[in-house]
Amino acid sequence: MPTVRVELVGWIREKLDATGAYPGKFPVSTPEGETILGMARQLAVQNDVFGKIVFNQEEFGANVLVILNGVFVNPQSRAETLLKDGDEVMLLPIVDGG
Amino acid sequence: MSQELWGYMGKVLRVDLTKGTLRDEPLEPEVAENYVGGTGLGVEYLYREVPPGVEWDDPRNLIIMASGPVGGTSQAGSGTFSLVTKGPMTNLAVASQANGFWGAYIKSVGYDAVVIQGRSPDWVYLHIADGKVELRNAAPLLGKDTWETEDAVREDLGTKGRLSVFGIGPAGENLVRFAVVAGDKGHVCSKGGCGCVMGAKRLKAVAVTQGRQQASLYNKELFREKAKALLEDSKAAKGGQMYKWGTGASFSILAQSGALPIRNYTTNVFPEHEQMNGQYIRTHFEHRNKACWACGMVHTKHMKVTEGPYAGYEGEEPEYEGMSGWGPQIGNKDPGGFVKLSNVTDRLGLDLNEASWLVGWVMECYEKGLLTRNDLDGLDMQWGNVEGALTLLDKISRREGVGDFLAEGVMRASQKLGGDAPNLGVYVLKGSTPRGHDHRGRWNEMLDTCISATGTVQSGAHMLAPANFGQPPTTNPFSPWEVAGTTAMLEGWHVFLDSLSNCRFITLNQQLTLDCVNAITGRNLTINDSLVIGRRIVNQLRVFNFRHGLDPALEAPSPRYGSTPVDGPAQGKNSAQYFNWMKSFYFQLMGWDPATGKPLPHTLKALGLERLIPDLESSPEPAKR
Repeated sequence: MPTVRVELVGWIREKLDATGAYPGKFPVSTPEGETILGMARQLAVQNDVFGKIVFNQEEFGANVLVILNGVFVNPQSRAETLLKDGDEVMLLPIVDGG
Repeated sequence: MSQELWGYMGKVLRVDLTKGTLRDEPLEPEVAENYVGGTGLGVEYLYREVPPGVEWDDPRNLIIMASGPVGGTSQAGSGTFSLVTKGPMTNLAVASQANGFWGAYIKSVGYDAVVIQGRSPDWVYLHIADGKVELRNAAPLLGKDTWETEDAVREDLGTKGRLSVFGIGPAGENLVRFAVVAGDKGHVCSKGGCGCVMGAKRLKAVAVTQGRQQASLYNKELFREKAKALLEDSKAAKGGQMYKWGTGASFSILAQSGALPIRNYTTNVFPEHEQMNGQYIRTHFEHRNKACWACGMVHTKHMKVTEGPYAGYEGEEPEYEGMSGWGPQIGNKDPGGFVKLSNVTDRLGLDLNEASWLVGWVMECYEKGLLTRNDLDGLDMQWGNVEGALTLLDKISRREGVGDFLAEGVMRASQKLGGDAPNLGVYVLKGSTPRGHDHRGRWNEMLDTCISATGTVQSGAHMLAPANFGQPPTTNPFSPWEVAGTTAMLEGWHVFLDSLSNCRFITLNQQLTLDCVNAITGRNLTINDSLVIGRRIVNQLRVFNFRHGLDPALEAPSPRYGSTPVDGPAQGKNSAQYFNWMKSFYFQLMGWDPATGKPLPHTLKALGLERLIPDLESSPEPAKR
């Protein structure tokens, strides 16, 4: 079973830190052939706050970006991009400001 | 609009530096209604009184420093003001804002704005107090940096009371093209070379001693309630990140999303970001609060560096753009270095964005052999050389040696150097400067920066949630449709905000912001009304710029600014292939000609700007540059 490493960034990290369920970076075991969207759905089922913050009706929230192994993933590719062992998935907010 | 000008002082101070005259003028109620104050008020005066043919250094050019209806109230951060002029970076309009106290104090002495024209025969500074306005000899202030100037003005006036001084450092005196107007020890009107205009007028500073006057408010109780709610909302916004960590909170997020500028855009990867972000410096360096007018957010701090080669150095905590510009942009990995560089830049009176693009460009040219040690007065300008950067800044501010060549800014210096040099600089082709990001990972701000008429971002769509305006959310920062669509559909809000006189960080909730404005003024503005006012100002600025020679072909990124990242999160994202399409689509959504970007007559009519139509039709063809 592949294990990927998930990193939460910015206010997503702050809000989930408060639940005590996730540190900033954590491993997630996924079934073979799992997609980015499927992995996030799995996390949303496990944790309500994750579901509310990151997920929105079976899709990533509009203000969440996904970076896979350091490269931006187009929203329309999230349901098709397969994860493999050792992948690093970063979930970060669209930065408004700065 | 109510008959009484609730929220206004009803008076504008007119200063003619050539004649040395000072007189009061009434604030026209129509100007307050249609343009609100701040940037809007400044744009109306600039449009009326600076005709085509008046260049930035012409005594007939104006500097308008304006507060707005929110200015000087108990609303947090309502000491902000807007400076409007025609500036030397683009030879087009400039609108730049600074936080601090000036926007509150000017109302406390009975004025909504100061309109400055002419050129003084000798160096002067303007002092405004309750019932007393005077031009005073500034000869003893020459050569002083912006902080020293504030201290010297205080000493000259013999006051220990509350005083706000915004002026120029050596850079403005020496007509460095990207000089700023800085004040309150840490706040800056930084864009478009507005300090260079002040220097051309031989005006060292504009000082205001706090008075006792207050504007009448339409509904004080409601205002207090809404202002309190607005502050609490702003403190909690974005998970409280800004409140806890300041603007540097976004440093790592920007690094991880490919929007942090690193070594002049030669890479998009910066693994050291957590050793110099906002969280790091606030947990490692000593700091204390340094609030602006009435502010409970206190996103700015006074800071003492406690580690590294600059341990012991004290100054203002840099904003995010000081951290990025004087950090990764020049290859510096020491946060103490960016604290010192940011403070020195402000004190010399230089624009931090332009200065850091310039130094990064010098470093890349040095690496590639386009500039040699001999060309750089013996400086070894390798990546990360903080001491070298400090020396360069000093030389630029005095136009000494290589500093004279660099004082023209990155676009002009690179064009003068020639060869491949212009291809390496980060700039907009019309001469303005991006803020301190890698906009190749933030396309909406690249488009905004290029098409803006203010000299910096104008739409500010990157800071706004479309849902708050009844619009669908964005999901993809690299979608040309979303980028052009949101930049246009949110256009007007930030220019409206800049007309109110309050800090952008305290106005993150649009409805509460309007609730405050309405309680102050007695108006009943909706979000849509505010967008209309903002778009009126944006369109008027655009017509001003066309009359003054705007070439829309130059509303585009330099080759490096618009290049495709070779690594990092935005690797391979090619904005250039869509840039002209995005620009044209934005023009269409704005009601402008999709090819030329000229506002169409029906657009101007709908905004109550019919009088501008003949001006636009007779505006000159763009000058060849």
